[in-house]
Amino acid sequence: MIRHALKLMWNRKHHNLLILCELMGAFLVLMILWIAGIAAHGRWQQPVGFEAENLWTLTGAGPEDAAPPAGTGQRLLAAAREHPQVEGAGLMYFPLYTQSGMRISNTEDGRFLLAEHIPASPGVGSVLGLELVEGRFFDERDRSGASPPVVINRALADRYFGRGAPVLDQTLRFGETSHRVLGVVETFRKGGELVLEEPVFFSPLWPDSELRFGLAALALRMRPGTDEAAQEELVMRLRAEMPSWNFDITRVADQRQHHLQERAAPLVAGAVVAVFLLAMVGLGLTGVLWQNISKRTQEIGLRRAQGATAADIRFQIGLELSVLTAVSIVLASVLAAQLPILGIVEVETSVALRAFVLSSAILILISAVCGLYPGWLAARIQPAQALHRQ
Amino acid sequence: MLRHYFLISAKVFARRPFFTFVSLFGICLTLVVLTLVAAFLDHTFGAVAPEVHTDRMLGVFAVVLESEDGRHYQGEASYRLLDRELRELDGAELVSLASVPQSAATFVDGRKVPLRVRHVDGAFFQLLEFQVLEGRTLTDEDHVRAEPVAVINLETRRRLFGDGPAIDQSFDVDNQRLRVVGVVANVPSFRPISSSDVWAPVTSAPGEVDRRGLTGRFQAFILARTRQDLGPVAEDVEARFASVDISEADGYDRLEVRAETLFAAVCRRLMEILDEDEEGGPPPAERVRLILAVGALLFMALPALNLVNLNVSRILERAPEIGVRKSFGASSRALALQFLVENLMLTVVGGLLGFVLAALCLEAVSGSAVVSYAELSMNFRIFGWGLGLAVVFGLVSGVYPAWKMSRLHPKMALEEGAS
Repeated sequence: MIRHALKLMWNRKHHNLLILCELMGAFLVLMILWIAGIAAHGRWQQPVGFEAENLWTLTGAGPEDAAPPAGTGQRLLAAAREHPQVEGAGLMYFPLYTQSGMRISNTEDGRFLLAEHIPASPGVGSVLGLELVEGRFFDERDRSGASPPVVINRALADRYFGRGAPVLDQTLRFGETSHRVLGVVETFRKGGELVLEEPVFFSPLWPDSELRFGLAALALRMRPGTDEAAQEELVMRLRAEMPSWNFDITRVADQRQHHLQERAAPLVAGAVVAVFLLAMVGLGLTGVLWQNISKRTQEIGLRRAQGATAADIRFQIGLELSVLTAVSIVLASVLAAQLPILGIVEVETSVALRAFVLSSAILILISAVCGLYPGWLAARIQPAQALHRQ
Repeated sequence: MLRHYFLISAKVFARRPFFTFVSLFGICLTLVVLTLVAAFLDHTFGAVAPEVHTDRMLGVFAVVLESEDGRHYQGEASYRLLDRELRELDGAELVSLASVPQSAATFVDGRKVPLRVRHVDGAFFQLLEFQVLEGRTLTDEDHVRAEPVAVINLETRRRLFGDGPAIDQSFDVDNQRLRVVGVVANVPSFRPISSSDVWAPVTSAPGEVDRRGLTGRFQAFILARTRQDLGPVAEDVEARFASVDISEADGYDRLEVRAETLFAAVCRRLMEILDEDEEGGPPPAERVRLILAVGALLFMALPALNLVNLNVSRILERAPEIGVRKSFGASSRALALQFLVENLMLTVVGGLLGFVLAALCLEAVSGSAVVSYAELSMNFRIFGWGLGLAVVFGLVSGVYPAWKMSRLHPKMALEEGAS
């Protein structure tokens, strides 16, 4: 029976090839959509490593040609802490939800590892709500060490020291500098929910040292329920402290929302286009199958005349369509698998597998729905019709 | 002859509305998406107000500084550097210097109003044609006299002053108190040359003009007299910067400056990010064009396949007609041409429908806050692009079925038709 169906299909191979290509194209569209969607959803579900609620960022920039005097950071922090609504304040380079940053590579002993370097004052650990799984965040005690202390995230620990290896008090070399690992956070994604976790390390930024122009931002932990009026008060207070500087203040929660919107927009647009593409493929497939049935009146009529039941005919049409769908899924998967194998794109295996299962299920569903009406038409063909045509 | 083809195809399309609908659905969808992309590109790089002279305009968007020990700076230049080197260029009608927008906060009734501020010289508003809604724009006189005045966009006017008067009102931005002299229409945030919320004379910002060093936050825009002058002007700019004394750049010993169109600059940046910046290859703008064209064709592939499938499966439906025409001596070529014209007609109709739908989509995007100040509208260039894409799509999807149909054997065609 199956062999018979396959033979019939083989006899119409030119035509089936075109349908096969179309199904493969639809499958690839589904795969791209699901991989992007599942990866983004996975990232969104992971914690970012800081508590965005009631967190504000205050950025400041001064004249470019005059480096701010030593102790500027101290003065800014003290001025911000005066405000009654400020629970805690810390100084860090590169605010949250920005893409800018310093990335430093480690080429010593042949390993190449890029890590994001975030200089931060001792207060930053508690202000951001970092949760350390090992060790502690640096404080005043760490000023006088032989090698400067760092706090790293799990991604950096795993890649530098290897998974499961001891991390605390180990030496981390980046470029010329040896750092001592003081603590480990499980996760920290400065860029926000929808970016990939990167290796990150915090190094101490002592507020009384010299600041580099324009990079520093204050992270402020506000009391719950603080209203917007505090923004103006804070900016005015800091302006009074540093009259030649420009200040800006934002709620991290607002930045978070903006980040999610900005990153989700292309996904949503892609999904809308893909749904329309699939609808088009579905309608097209229905049309093609319908047309095929009317061309095959004689063949089907003959089968009916020889005793095949309507159910048999429906089964044949369904079988042909299933074989076509299955072959196209296999071929398209083999094709798609070349991309990660050749190293053109990187996709996590678990994500790819889930995308494969979902895409296959949807494609099978589409082809089943498309086959319903033509199958019903085919089953209605009477032997007399076939004879009449002759 | 063509009229004949049109009449026949109109009949064919009317005979099977389901198939016509499915075909049009695919065509429309494809062309809506591609037209939207074309519209977005046109609104970023094309001659849309206020940047009406993009065909004669060059920009110095960034300077590159390199040192022997491998340090690399790529960013905007200082006002002083550009002002010293670019003011008198042969072949240039206008030269304007403007900063990239800088974010700043101002407060109204205790609420923060985030603003982007661009510091510009007197020529800026001559080079670009903003739509002035109230008052005036900035002039050379404001620049020379360092007036603390500002032009704001409509959205900023609404946020700062509501329905009240705006002209001659003052507001604080950073350390400056600026008096509003004009209100202009909003410019979409993706227009990198003109978009901002506040424009103020560079001379009014303390210390900005005299800032030392080569790096800063300024860009230069050059309007050439004619399109033929673009090449010589770009060479002139490069030559001038080649002889700049860079001893004041701390430790850098090589300065590279290019004057190029916005599109070329963006493409160069893109290729650098993608790490595809190979020496000696075709210029980045060409490669981006190629990538866009290939992307458009890839996007067309699935809908085209769909249309090919539909057309091929309907060959036999046309068999009587083909058979009769063949037996009366029509050549395969004439038949193929006829079917191709038929398909082109369908795609062009689909393209027109797609154009209308894309215009509606743009309207929706402009109304929403997805992109700030996005005021996208259709114009004849985009219409031309849409039509061109429809024709390409018609050819891509029409050639194979037309060839296949034209090869149908007359005997078979007539037999099939007789039954």
